[in-house]
Formats: sequence, structure tokens, C-alpha cells
Amino acid sequence: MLRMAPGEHRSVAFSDEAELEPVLAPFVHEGLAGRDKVLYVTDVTHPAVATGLLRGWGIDPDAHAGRLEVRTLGTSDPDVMVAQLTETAYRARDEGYRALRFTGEMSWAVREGTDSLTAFETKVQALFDSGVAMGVCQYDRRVFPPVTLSELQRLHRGTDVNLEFDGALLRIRRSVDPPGLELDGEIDANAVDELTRALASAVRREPGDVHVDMGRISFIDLSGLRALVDTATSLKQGRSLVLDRVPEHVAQLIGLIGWDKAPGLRVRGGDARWSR
Amino acid sequence: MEQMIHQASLYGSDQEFLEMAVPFVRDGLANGEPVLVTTTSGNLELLGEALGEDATRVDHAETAYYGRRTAQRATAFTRYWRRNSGHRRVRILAEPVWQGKSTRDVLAWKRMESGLNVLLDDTGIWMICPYDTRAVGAGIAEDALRTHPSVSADGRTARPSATYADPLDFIGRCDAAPLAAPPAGSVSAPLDEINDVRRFVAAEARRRGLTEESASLLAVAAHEAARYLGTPLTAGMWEDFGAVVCDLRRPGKAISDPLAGFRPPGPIERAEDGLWLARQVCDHVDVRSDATGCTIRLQTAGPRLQTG
Repeated sequence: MLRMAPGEHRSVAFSDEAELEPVLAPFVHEGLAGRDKVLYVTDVTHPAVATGLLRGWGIDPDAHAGRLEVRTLGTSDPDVMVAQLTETAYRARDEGYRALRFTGEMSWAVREGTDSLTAFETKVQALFDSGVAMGVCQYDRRVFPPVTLSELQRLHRGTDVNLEFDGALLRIRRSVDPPGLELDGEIDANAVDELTRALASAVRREPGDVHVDMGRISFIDLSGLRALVDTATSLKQGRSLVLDRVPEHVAQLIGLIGWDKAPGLRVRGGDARWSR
Repeated sequence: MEQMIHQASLYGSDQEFLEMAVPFVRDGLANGEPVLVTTTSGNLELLGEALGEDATRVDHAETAYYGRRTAQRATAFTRYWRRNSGHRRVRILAEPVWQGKSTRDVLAWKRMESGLNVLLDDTGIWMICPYDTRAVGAGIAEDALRTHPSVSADGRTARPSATYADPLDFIGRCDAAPLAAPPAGSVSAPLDEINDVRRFVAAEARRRGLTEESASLLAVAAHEAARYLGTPLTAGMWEDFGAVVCDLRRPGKAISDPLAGFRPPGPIERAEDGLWLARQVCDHVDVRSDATGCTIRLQTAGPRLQTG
């Protein structure tokens, strides 16, 4: 569902490794299924751990030796990093690949400072613009200050650090106030796995109630409603899944099924989202 | 848990009604069993007066509002049983409205009466269905004996019904007539993708003047029916008097369970849950399988529906 083309430059912000999967697993899969070479650069994570993550996503690095490489960043100099990426990308082209897919941990920038980070992101964008590469930069929310994260949002063209999932029919963003998720689009059985994953990570991330803004949902089927209810009923006592701005017909469906009385679920219509 | 009991009771006077209903209700209360009475407002009044103080311990509903359509009625019974799940026996006195119903609705309600023998088989419900022979036609009274395994006149004892029909046979006869062909002027489209089904239906419903909410609900119903049927399929839509109708036809497919979608969803997801939702949202859902494929026909109220 990711579908990235050479030249694109995205980012993913995460609080635990499970949140990388929805973005990175399709990113790597697509490259291997297509005609790209894949480079995964780690910083604080041991390469063996990253290799383990890939295996967990159903990607066997051994089976793609020479095509999928996991390596540790050997430098903190943005110029050297981009030079190495440029060389790897052009070598991939010479070997007959369409482009280099790069993903890397950006935690080094916390040590080096914002100027280095900006220099890297700007230079790497120039490399991507030449059409030989594309990339997803990984930002660990636990180490980056919120100010830096919102700055990064500007640097990653057309991307959004709060974006959890960007499918053909559904977009899932994290929200900070109220804490939870914003859903935009249509939810059917094809999107349920992504929704369930995003809900589970919001439940792990937030200590209290988890809000889901339904105001831009134009369609949701029974399987989507079930994913919401299952998440709500699995919450510990005292926590709720709060559905905000629920469209009238969706509220009616929830009532018909009897899920308006499900433990842990609160359904609010209209603009009740702002009146707590 | 006790075995499910489903009895008809044909009565021709208020006194005969009370001779059956009062012992049935009183025995249940004496046993500490939940008792639900859903009948006409006239019979609720009669029974209330006869029961005196005891009436305050009886769950009640005016029958026209306790499940407006058959799938809603069957669901209401199942839910009443689930809400009283601590009991081995739950009593229900259930008298549908028969007078003034269209031929199609009479058939649908007879079909449900027969279906309840299957749908409620795994419950401990004892249900008596009174039939007022002063009001219902001979055809309805005769079919009551085909759709209920036994008949009770006193709310305590019963004799087997000699003409009781196997529910699947009875329902098969109810479904024997093919669906009317779509009229000229219906719009149809071959659709490969499930998300095109809901878009087509929502757009056609809006174009025919349904409110945003009604169009959205019909689109959900069509989507769920299409999920049950599978794709590719051909969707067709047209207007009838008072109704917007949507056909979904899938060649080479057959739906074998005539009661699919009458049981409300539980904690575990089942394939028929979506069809249940379609049956809750629509006024009519007809399913027909033949040698060349299967059609699900959904009908909802048309744009000129007045709600007061």
C-alpha cells in the first residue's frame, strides 16, 4: 500500500520498533519485488537487530544477499554520508537496478545537532531529485525533541511525521491533542489490519484514553467497526477508546449492532471532540 | 438449559386469549423465569388487568415496535435470551401484527415464524404465539399450524401439530417464486471491486434523492451483502413505489442457508454478520439462488418517505 517512486523522500516517526513495520515492511518488499536495491543503515541499533526486524516482517536478508544490505553508519559527517549514498546509488544503477531504496536511523543527528541534520536532509534530497534513489528517514520520538520533529515535517516533502499509514483509500495519522488517531477516508476489510495495528500502537503509546477522530470517515464497514470495538473491549478498566465526531449513519450502525454499550467504548457525534 | 418450545395458540375471544396467556405468564413468574409479552396494545391492556399486581414484573413491548421487520424481530428475541443468559428458561408471548400487512409481508412473517424453530433452537426460550382467528385469515391460521411444532390452548399443556412442516421445506416454499425482473429504466453495472459496489450504490441512491444518511446506510448494506456474495458481480438499481431497490447478482454462486443474516453478531466474527447488518438496515432483503447464480435484492424506503 506504500508505493514509492524514485525521487520520493519520506520519514517515519516511531516510539517503538513495531511502528516501523507499516512503513518499512512495504518499502522493502516493494523494492525487492520490483527492480530496486535496498540499503538499511542503522545508528544505535545493532545491524543484527535490524536484520531480525526484517525477518519478522517476512523478509529474509540472506535470500537477498547482494541486493538487500544492512550496515552501520560509519560517520557523523553529513557530506560523507551523502557521498556514500550517492556512490551506492550509482553503483546500483550500473548493476542494472532501477534505483536505490534507502532507509536509515537518524538518531545520530541528536548528537550532531540540528544544523548537521538540516544539511543532510537537504543534500540527500538533491540526490533523490536526480532520480537514482528514494528514502525513508527514521526518527525515534523518544530521542528527538518535538520541535525538531515538526521542523523535519517541512524538510520531508509532502510527508508528515505523524502519518502512520497512507493507503489508497485510508490515511491514518497520530494526534497529540486529544491523544490518539485521526482517520481519513474509507475503512473496509482491506484496511482493517492497518487500522488494528495503528490502534494497538496508540494504546501502547498513550497512558489514558485513546481518541479516534472519525470526522473524515466517509465509509466504514462491519469489519472496521469490529476492529474499533475489539480494541475498546481489550482496554484495562478505567481506560476508554473514545470515538469523536462520529458521522450520524455510523453512530446508527454502532447502535443497531449494540456496540454502543460495549465496555471501554465511547461514541460521540458532531463536534463533541472539543468539549471534554 | 431447557429445550426450546415454540407453540401456536389459536383463540377466538378475549376470554380464550386470557385462558392461555394468564397461566403462561403466572407460571413463569412463579418459577422466577423472565417473561416477555409482545402483543397488540389491546391484548396488553387485557392481560395487564387480568394479572393485577403481577403485571409489574412482566417485560412488555407493543408488538408493532418490537422488531419492525422479521430480521429485527428474530434479533430482538435472541437478544432477550442473551440478556437473561443466567436463566435456564425464558418465556415469551409473541403475537405479530397480521392485519393490514401486504402479501409480501405476510409471507415474510410466516417464513420467520418457521425460521424461529431453527434460529432459537439453541436457546431455552418457551414461546407461545397467539393467533386471533377473528382477525387473521384462514390461510394465516393454517400456516400457524405448519410453522409451530405444537399447539397450546391453556398455556401449560400442548398437543403436537399434525401439519407441522420442516422449517427448511416451509421456507423453501416461501422462496419458490422467482424475484420479479428489474423494470425497464433500471441502471446496472458489472463491478469487479468491492469498493466500486458501495460507490455505485451510494451515487445511485443520492441521484434518486435519498438523504446522505439513507444513501450511506444503503451503501453499507450493499457492501456487506456483496462481501457475503463475493465479487465480481453485477449491481442494478431502480425505484419502485415507495422504495429504492438494489440487486446484486453473482453468476455461479449459491447461498445455501436461507436463514443467513437472521442471527445477530456475537463476540466471534462470522461470515453472515454482514448480511445481518444489511437485513437490519433494509426494509426487505431477498436472496435467491438458481442454476446460473445468486441474487441478493435489497430494498429501502424511497426519497418521498415522510416521517412526521
